[in-house]
Amino acid sequence: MDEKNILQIIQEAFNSLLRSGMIPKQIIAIPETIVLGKDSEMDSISLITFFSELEDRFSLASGKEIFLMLNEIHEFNIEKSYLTVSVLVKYIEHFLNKQ
Amino acid sequence: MVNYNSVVIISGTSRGIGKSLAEYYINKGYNVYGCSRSKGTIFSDHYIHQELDITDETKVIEWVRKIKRTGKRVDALICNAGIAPANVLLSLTTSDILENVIETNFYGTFFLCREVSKIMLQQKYGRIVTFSSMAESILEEGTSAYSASKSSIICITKILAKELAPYGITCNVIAPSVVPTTITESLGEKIIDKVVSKLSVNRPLTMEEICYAVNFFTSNENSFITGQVLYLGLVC
Repeated sequence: MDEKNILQIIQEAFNSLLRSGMIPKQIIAIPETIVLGKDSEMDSISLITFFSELEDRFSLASGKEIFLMLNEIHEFNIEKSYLTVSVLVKYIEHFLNKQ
Repeated sequence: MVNYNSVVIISGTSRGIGKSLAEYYINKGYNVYGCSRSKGTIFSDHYIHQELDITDETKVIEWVRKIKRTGKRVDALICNAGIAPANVLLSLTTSDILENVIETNFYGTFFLCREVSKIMLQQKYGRIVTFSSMAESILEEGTSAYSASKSSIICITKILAKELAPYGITCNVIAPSVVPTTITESLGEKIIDKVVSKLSVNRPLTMEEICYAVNFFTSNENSFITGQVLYLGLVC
């Protein structure tokens, strides 16, 4: 799965949050989009749901069991107080490749 | 009519309260996913057992994901699994005892609530019941580790109740008194009599009474009662 596919799935997860009323307005999945931290459009509950959505969608798309662990993502994001879509994409790429 | 569309997860189902709860919910028409450190002791088409140590975070995550995949939804979580060490004064409580009790009673409940709540958030529906104990209220000498672990369960359940209330999820606590199980029987008649004498209702609880109380919290109709502790047999 390449970066474009991963971004596409992240966008679908954002769209699902919007449809379910978890977020008030659409979020566009571009590398600079902040997922977690200051300026994120998501509150903590929508973030939890977003991660669950991602796990479901990536598991379905890859046929592998995907667990997104925040403490593992942090290793890709040292010394940053926020998490962007680009870091998330790198982590997911790494996760899919290591399995 | 029994339709087996609803799913309940119950921890600690190989014996005692957990086993009775699992059988009760199977009879009520639920598909029951149960776990314990040991092999399953319930044999039903509507019961799926997992040998699991609930203190193992990764294994808990994997188990709950597996249930989500196969059961499709989770209507209720009943965090029953727990251990009760022999009474020992705090001055003599070893770090091994403390760690064991806190890990099983607190970490185990925490991990299960955390993982299942993610599914319930997506569903915007769920019923979570955790198990504390009257011990945390009576504060009997020799139960420092156990009572602290059971007190912490009340704390996290109330906080979780606040966090999840806007999403149709209720979280409540059952605090039972003495129930005739193999664990309590091993304490001996003298200790059981002493504990029972401190209850407002001076007799041991029955399994039916516990099931009735848990069912009150897990029922679909209970959408407004959350963050509450139900003490059974004790006025607090």
